[in-house]
Amino acid sequence: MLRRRTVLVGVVGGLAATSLHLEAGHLEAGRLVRTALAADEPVQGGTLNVGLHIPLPTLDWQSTVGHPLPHVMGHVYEGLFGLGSDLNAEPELAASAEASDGGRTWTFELRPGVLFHNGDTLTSADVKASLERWRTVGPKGSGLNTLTSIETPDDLTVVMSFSEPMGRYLLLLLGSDENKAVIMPAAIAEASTTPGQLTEVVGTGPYRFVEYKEDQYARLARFEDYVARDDAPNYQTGKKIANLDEIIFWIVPESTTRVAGLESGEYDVIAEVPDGEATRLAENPDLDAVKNGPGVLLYMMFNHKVGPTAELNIRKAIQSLIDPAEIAAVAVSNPDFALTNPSIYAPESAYNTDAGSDLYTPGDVEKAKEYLAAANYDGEPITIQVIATNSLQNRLAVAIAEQAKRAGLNLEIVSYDLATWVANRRDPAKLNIYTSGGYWVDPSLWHAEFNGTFPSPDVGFISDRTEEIFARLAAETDFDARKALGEELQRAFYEQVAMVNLGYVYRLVAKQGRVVDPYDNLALGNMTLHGIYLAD
Amino acid sequence: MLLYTLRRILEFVPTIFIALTLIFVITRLVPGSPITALIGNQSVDAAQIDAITKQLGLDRPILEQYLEWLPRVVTGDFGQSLFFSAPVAEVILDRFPITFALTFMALLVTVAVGIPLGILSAMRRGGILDYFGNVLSSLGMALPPFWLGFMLMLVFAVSLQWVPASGYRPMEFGFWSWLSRLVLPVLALSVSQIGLVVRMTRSTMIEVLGMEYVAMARTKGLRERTVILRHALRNAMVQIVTVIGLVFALGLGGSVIIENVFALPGLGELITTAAIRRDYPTLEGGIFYLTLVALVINLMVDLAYAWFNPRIRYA
Repeated sequence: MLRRRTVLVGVVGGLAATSLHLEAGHLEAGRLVRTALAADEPVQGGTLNVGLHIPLPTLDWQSTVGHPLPHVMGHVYEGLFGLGSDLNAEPELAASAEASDGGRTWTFELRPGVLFHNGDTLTSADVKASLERWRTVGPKGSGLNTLTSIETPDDLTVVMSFSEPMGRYLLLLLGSDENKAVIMPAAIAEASTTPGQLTEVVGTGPYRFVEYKEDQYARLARFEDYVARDDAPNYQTGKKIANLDEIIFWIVPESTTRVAGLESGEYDVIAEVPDGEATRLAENPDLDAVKNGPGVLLYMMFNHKVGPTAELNIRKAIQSLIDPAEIAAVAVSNPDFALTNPSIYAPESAYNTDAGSDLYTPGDVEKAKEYLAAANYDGEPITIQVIATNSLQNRLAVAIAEQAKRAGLNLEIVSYDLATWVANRRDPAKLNIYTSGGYWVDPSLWHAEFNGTFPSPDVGFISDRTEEIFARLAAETDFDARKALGEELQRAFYEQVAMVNLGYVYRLVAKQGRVVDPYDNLALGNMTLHGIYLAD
Repeated sequence: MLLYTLRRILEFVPTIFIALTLIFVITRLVPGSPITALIGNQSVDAAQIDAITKQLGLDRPILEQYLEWLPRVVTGDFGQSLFFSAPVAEVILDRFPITFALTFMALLVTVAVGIPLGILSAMRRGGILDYFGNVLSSLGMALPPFWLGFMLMLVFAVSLQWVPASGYRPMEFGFWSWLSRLVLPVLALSVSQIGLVVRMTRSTMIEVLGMEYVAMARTKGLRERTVILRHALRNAMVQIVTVIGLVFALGLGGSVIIENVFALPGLGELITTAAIRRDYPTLEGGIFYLTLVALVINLMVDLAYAWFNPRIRYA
């Protein structure tokens, strides 16, 4: 029988970034880990049953930021770069990456002998075709808009040329596990021209895709010919160890059912556990509750082009009146899973800063009234749209509407099903406010949402000042200089109220005690099962 | 009897027409577009959205869509699912056995428990069995099936670990693997149905047992068992069969919730997700299938009436 311990893993600072889009209400988070002690020798074999919260919207990870793609496809596919345990970009399929010509040229050397699941050997042509596809179909592909060419001088060399200098942010852009720029055989990439539709799911990862039974399960099996890196295991990169014969991701939308399935031994690991279950699960000697970080920022998004929220003073009023302490109380039922922090970068990020916090004056109702007076606000209703089935969004909206009342702001909650909510979010005539969540550990990653096109060009935020900061960030490679730019960006966000910080929350993952996670991967970001084994 | 059956089948036609029209209109009245649901967070530009709209025929006037759609669906062709990359009929046939197994087994349990308990309650009015039957039927009808489902899960799966908590395994995984995952959903679904059947059987039997021909049968010295089963029950069956038909139809509706609670990928779950995804063809096909099954059940109930009481077919 294994001994257990409770480990408090302080989240390491020093990092870069990833962003997580959690529009349907899944939360992220920190690192209070209660885990089993790793046995001396990992056990090979067995099937790991994982309970997931939502079905896969598509098998095409290149074309979506949607969940739970990273949980599943992170084991099937690899990119040139991936995320390390400090959430920095680390080489994955690339052996090296080198910038020249002031960042206008990036040369990637590939690891030799890497095999695809179909037996073909990875070449630079596959990388070229995959990146060409990703920049066309990927929501984050627009990050390569200054790319002028991809050359393949030989089978193991890829040269990317840019019209503008591109900093190390490029590696993070390609390696972030939200809409990862994954590499697939050139023939598949070229034949799969429609977003969301792949002719075949073939990657180079330690597990190969076996089947997806819609709304039921996704099954992966160990790829026996996997060619691993020889450096140390490092979250989603480094040497990946596939101890399990098979991983089955079961789709179990009801959280109560997922938890019951874990307690009855049906599932070995479950995602998106309500934080209210943390204490009860931790008391069960057969189970482990894992607090998962980094902190997810809950934030309020506006229609910046039309209607009352296009007026800066209205947004400033909202920014002033919001009290994150109250928001945290409704967002989580276990206070350990919430945190108030003025930064737009995760508390665990090296970019976390209090720059501009003088403008972040939560709960200042008097100031809010002043801004409303300056805006000549006449009580016109402002709507906050929520997804009817998203209980977190609903709770947040109720708390926000109550806080708004104190300043005399007439905030109305309008509830929609997911499809209508998504459609209205793009519609300037219908959108005022919505809430979302995600984590950002690098300033550049904010650009995808604040470049004027998200959620649509008719409502999205853009400003000359932030565009100029983003451009400098993209080209800058020195960390201290980037940090200063990150502070500048945060101040600009607060001054222009690009969004409103509602506070941070952390996620909860739970597992059977017999599931050994020697590298504490379950405490970090999206589900990464490399190195995990079943102790009996 | 044949003529009666044919007449009842012919009556299907207008019912199906109305059902199909309502299904078409209601799915399109719901706000939100399948295109938005389809693209989700994917990177798709306006030209691609236009192309998808055209490809799905959603750019044409509603009436035109309806006139093209109706003749096609009456032959069972609901087209391709927008999400599953497969014909709707194929998707439904994949899911329907799960829903059918769930509702049919729930019906079997309901009939096996409800009718005997209703008869015994009627025979022993005021006794312990009657009291038990009343409590069970009241509780069964009062407890929401989803709550009962969670409670059953906590007791039988989490605490006692007799059966799995949720999920579905096809028969290929083994008979017990398949059956064990249906035990709790079947119980959750059947408890409320049992309540209804017990109550209906009891009241009908009490009424029948008070009739003169039953007293006559007893006076003639027939055994109580014969009086109950051959004389009273046969006459009470017309009402009981009505309730059983109703219970099966309710079970199909209730399966939507139960399947979600127990993560069973049945037709109910399919319809729920199709509605969220605005997958019109799947939604329409799924609802139509359920409607068709309900109509067939109604037909069987009608035929059972005629069998239990031949006077009905001449009415």
